[in-house]
Amino acid sequence: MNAMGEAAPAVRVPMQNREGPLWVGFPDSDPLGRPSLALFSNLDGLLGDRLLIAEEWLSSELPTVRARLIERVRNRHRIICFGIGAGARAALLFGSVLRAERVITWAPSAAPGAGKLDAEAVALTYDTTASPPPSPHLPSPSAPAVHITSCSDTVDTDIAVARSLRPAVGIRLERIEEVPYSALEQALAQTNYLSRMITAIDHGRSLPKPHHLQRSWQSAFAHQIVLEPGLSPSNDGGFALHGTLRNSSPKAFSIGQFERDLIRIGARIISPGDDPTQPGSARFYFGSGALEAGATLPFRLELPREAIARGFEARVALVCEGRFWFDDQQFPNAILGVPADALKHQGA
Amino acid sequence: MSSQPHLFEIEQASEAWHLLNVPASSQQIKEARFRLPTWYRDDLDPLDTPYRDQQLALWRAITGRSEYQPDRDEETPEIASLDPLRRPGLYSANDAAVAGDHLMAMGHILKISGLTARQRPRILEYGAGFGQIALTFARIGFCVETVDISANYCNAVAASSEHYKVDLTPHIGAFGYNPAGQPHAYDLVFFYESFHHCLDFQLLVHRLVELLKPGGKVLLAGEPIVTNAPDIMPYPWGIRLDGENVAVTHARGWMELGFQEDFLVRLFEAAGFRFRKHPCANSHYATVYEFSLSD
Repeated sequence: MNAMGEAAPAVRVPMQNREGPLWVGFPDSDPLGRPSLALFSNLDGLLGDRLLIAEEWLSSELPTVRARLIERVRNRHRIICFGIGAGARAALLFGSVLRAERVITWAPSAAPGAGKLDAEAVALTYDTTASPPPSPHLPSPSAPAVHITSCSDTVDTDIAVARSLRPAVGIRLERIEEVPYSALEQALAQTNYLSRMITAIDHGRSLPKPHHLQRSWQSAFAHQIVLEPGLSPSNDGGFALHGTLRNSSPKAFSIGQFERDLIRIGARIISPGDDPTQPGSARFYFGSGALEAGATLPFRLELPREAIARGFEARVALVCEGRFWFDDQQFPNAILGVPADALKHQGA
Repeated sequence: MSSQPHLFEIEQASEAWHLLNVPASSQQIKEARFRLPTWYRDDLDPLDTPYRDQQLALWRAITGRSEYQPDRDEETPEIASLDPLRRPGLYSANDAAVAGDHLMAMGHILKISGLTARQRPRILEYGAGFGQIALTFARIGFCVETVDISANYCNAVAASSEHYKVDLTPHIGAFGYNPAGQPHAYDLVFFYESFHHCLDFQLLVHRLVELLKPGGKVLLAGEPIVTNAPDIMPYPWGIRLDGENVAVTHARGWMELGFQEDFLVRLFEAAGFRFRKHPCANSHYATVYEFSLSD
């Protein structure tokens, strides 16, 4: 874009451009430092060979990534880059390098694994008038349309990223209330928000609004947790807490996807005198399969004897490991309190 | 009978800013005028580059800055601390008359737009600030986009959009940036207290023809468009020479232009627009300039 924000004039679309754009996704890093792939859930079926997941950006030096990506997008004339958090920062950088027509980002400032991609480095790449296209087969220089959607806890720092990109680009700025960065990837993965966005862009329609994401997230993950009132002895001398998870959303929960995204049923356990900010914990791992809409899944949480001997309160909810507890995001939990006396009656 | 306004030299802009902020002298500065510098030429074509360059030189003389950069010089950093939902700009002045002016202008713009939801109109506002008019259009049910050079203002609009769950999308960008990405997408493009910050307004006027659908219209309101004010606007367009404006320009670095009405109307008409003026007796902010394209 020049000083007047001149866009490319309307032109007849060449035959090759009638194909949908190539979507290049840049993974965030998960809590274990691996590429977090939840964002790309369910996109294979929609995009097929129009989806390229650029995992290499997390593990290789930037010049190497740059060269490899240019090679991988060879002969593609329309490119859209997208990502969350650290992946968003990468999408901004490589979206400029690859001359993407759009760069779609969520919370680009929330980039714990993107130390090498500081805002200044990203901003410099947007000086497209000063730098020629990296390869003759990439589209001619033009500033991409940049979308920045902020989470409830990244607004201020995302604004700083946006300011660093000015004035070379036009930036679409949106924000999602009540969804923090820690829950964002799951919110996107468990709804069809990204699919709807892709379909809208492919068909030249208006993009879905962020509040649609919030609504879909609440609907797609709706569930109830019910705990049995008593405990049973466990094999290692402790106790087991039993309950059921009911899927009250209109679609099946993919248990396999739960495992991949590190979603578990968890309990935060506090005994009298404990620091409430440092609860004990227990987990139930789902395994595989699906939990159909309306179906219930029994679960069992092992509680070590020494952790609960003084009595306890267990707050049970879904947890995305290392990221967030679902009951902190307006989803339900179930709480069971057991005094020390009651434990004695059960053989403690 | 009031006395003649005090005349300042451009070099006194800093002094005027200081006096403007002293209650005892504030009114005097508001009534004062600045003299054009001796080097200013009045024989240049207002549509030509040398005229524009001369206005930039005047801006440099007032501000002491070297180069006009809208993304830096048009910033209003203090708005980041205002609550965009409860007390956006028009309410934060703590003055009912100020709020009344802006609300009358809003009402006039809404009414003159002539739009209904049945038309599914798409609307663009440039220099939206807190975007209160854009928000009202969106709450009626229209698809509205805003463009502002200030990330802070865009953030405020995004907060309003999310709060009200309406089809309102802010874009950080310069005058002329087309969020639609395609020509002839908008039914209405409007400016409220913003058009006069656009140095390259001639290019922008022609750009508006590309942005609008056939039959679309441009509305301007709250703009310093004058019919007879030679002491403030001694030229077809340029920096306004009233004391308060020059003092504020010095302190802020904003591009605070004004226009003689005949000049601006001719510019729009030359670009293919039909002109109609909607005066408002109660507030000059609510005087709306309507420029329409043929169907």
